[in-house]
Amino acid sequence: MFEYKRKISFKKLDKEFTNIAKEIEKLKMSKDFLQFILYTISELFTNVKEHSKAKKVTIQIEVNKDCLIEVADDGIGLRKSYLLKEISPKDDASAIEFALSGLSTKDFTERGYGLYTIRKFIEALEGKMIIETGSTSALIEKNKIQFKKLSPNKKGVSVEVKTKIKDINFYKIIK
Amino acid sequence: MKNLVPIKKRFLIFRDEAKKIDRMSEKTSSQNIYFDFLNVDFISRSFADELLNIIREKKRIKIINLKPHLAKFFEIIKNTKEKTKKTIEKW
Repeated sequence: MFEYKRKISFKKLDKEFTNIAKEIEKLKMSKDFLQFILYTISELFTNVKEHSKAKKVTIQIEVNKDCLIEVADDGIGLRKSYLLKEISPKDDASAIEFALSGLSTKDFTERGYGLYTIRKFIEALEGKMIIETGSTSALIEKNKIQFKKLSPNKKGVSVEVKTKIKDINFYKIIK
Repeated sequence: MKNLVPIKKRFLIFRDEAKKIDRMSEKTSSQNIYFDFLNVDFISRSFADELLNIIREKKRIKIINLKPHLAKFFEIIKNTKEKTKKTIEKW
């Protein structure tokens, strides 16, 4: 139905989102699932823009029987972005846990919901999410997180979201 | 209407775009400035969060012609912000 893979400059994220969204909205599926796709891409793009200090961003989206969304940047990584805001996760695994819990590298009030909410969607859709940064890969599936060591280390952050296409109540999940 | 600003973009995802609305509002001296969201089909959580921060500070900024699904989204983000604020105040 839809396949997209591109490596773009960090500066073109906004324009690229518009291009992707125009294609995504043509797909025949429930409005709530379309909202989920756009929400996920927008959150991942926002994370890159606000925290990564990346130069290049690789985006892969496939929507067939399943839905795959992957956004990877070549920036400073999750742990360093916390350290710059004087939040000190002890290692990359802790930085991933912080991000999944909604702890922002910015200030309070509605910041830090990106990966936290995507995780809620993944749980509702019975899908999975893989986050890779620094020396750590985290697989989030069935309400559990499994950590693995990466070798060599991953520069920046990569987030992959994979799920079946199902009916969901978008607005109930983002609450 | 002089103080009506149509938003031309259909997809608003970054905080910068909300800040742009704020800057535009500063260019007018009218009592209220109306931003017309008729063309807008999608807003991200970050954009909504930033715009709500701006609107809270500057009551003269008014949003009009917001599509129902976006109005619902804004309402959810607004409620989450209030809940988060209350939780932080309890700490």
